[in-house]
Amino acid sequence: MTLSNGTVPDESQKLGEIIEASTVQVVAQSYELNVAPPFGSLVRMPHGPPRTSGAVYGVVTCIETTALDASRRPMARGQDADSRQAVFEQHPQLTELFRTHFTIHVLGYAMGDGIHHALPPLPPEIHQFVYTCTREQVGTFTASPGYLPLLLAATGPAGDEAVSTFLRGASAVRSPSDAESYLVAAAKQLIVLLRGDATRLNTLLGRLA
Amino acid sequence: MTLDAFFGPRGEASPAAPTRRRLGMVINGSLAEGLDLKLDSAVPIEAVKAGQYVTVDGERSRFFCVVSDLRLATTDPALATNPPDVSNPIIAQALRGTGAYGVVHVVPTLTQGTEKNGPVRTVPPHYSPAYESTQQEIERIFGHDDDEHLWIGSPLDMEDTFIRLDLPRLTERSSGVFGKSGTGKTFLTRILMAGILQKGAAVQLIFDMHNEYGWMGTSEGSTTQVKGLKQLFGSRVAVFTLDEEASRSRRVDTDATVEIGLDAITPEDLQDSAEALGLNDTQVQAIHRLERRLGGKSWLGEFLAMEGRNTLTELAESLAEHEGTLSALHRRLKGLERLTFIRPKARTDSVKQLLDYLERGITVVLEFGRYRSNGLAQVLVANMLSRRIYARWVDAVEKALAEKSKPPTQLVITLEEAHKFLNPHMAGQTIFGEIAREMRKYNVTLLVVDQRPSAIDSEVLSQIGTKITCLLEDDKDVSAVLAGTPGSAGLRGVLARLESKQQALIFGHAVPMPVVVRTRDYGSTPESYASFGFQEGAALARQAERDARDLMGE
Repeated sequence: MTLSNGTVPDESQKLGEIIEASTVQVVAQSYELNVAPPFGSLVRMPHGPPRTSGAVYGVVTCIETTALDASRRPMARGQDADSRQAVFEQHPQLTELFRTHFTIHVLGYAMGDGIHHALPPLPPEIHQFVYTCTREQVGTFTASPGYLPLLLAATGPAGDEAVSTFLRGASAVRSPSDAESYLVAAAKQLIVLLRGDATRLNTLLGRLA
Repeated sequence: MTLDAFFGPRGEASPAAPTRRRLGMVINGSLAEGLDLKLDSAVPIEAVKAGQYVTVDGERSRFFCVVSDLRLATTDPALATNPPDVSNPIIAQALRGTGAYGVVHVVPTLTQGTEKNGPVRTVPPHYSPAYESTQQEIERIFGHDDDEHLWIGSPLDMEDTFIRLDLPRLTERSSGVFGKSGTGKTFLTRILMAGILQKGAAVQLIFDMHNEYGWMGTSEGSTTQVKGLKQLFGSRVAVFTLDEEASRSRRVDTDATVEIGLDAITPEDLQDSAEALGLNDTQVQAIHRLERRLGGKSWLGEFLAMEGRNTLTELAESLAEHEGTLSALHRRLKGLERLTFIRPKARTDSVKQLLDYLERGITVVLEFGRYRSNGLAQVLVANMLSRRIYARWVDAVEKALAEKSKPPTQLVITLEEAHKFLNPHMAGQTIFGEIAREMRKYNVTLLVVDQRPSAIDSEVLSQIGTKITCLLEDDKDVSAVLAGTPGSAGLRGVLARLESKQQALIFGHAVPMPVVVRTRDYGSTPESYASFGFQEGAALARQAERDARDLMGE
């Protein structure tokens, strides 16, 4: 299953599992090769005692597929094959030799009393599942702009790409008129937060609109 | 008379109080220089204008301010030199009020405590919210529609709001209406007079040099005539004339014709008019000697009747006066005989008549008829009458003080072409200089109307409590009017930006703060008369019927 960039499914999907965790950043492994929550999307990781609604939220800032054994470099195999599909059919072991990982920067957490745009007291637990967020969950999490400072701090290798993708995605879950006012409000906040860094601000604003 | 009938239709505010519109908040400022407000992003800067009223809610009191400057600012200089793509509506909208914002500079002019208004002695704290002042707030500052307040006009851009003058304060000190020719001085003066009459704030003596106030006057910029005070207020106004013929030809319903007997003219009267008569100091001194020599009341008549050189030579010798002085004096005083209202002996005592009217609380308008530009007639008559009236008022006030009884009614003397009476040379001698300086002690004040305030003695000008100023262009005039006024630098700009018609800057004793108004209407519609309590035809008949019933106690 592949998710196209920028769209948000109606249902939450379990796509991976935490294999590395800190309060700031989480690395998860996908269950399926080449499948991950879209870059710049909001994900949810259950947190706290079982059967409570506690969760940690984060933004996907990097997705990578690498060889399972870092010491063995993959080889090109498709010289005689017609398609990528054919390569995998000829070498079925390949699916087991690669893994897809994605990096999540933490933006906030939910406890019994609602959503906090702050780092959680403890990092998400290892082997905790990672779910995509529904439109409703994205709408609720981004209802107020408090997540923006953490989002701006979450620079993955692609810099502010994740920020603009996240904001565009969050505006897409809203009705067209709300989407515009959401973007204006977010842009206003960016102008305040990025005071003194006009270059970064100009780039970000250019990506937003 | 019912209150409605008296005040007429007003178009007062709608019953629902409008919500206050927030403009921004205080971000900077000082007591000396005023406050800086950062405009909220929702308020377009073009909606705020210089001269507009702004209310800042401090923690303990409200600050009533006037917008004096507007500025554009950015949080980051780089935003100004390297602006984001503002052609995109989202970016443009986001930048407004955050990265790029408007700053409004306001000058606090009043603080509003819970009880009353006071001068500004502190500033509101940081981030105090600022609002557009509402009609109610402005009306609370300038007073409500009652017997002590005269509606004079509206602030610019706020046509439904009423600016009112405090009448007791207006009349208790001298006031002035200034403005260059054709800017509506007469119009404004007429409103003031009608207002003072309507509310009964004072009794007035109006020297109507150009025959504009008593009966029909002309309205600036049109050929239509407007009603005079007599037409509006009937028996509460008496029209006196110096020139019966001219008044009759204008079909003015006059109450009396002023005649002045030579026997009533004193040396002091001639001294007041020395400049108009062209008399020098020696000649003025000779007048006093003459009066002592010839004696009695008829000295002036006798002197003027003298014919021939020998008679004058004899008189000069007996007075030890130079003959040339006396014959020059004789020639000059002969000029008095050319004034038709001066007679050897007056048939009626005009001064007494006038005093009777004034003491009964009836406003007197004195028309000058053909003497509209005769300086001698104006100066002589105005000084003579005022000197006697003033003396009567001084007596009455002193008597009232001694007996602890009620002092005489406040008297306002309106003086047009005031520089003729109050120029630096004359102000020291004439009665008007004295009235202006002695001010309210004796319940007599002046309403000075002039187009060249710089020609008026600065000492007199400094005693004028309320100044109502239409457009003035000459720097000397502007400086003269604004001398001694706090914040005059700001007012100077305002004065220069007034439109040439129907706009005036009012400051001083009768208003809590300087204000620019668009003056109310007078004469262009029947309603404008009704708002001064005037009733026409049918309404008048009905009122008469009601009055009759009231009188008969039915």
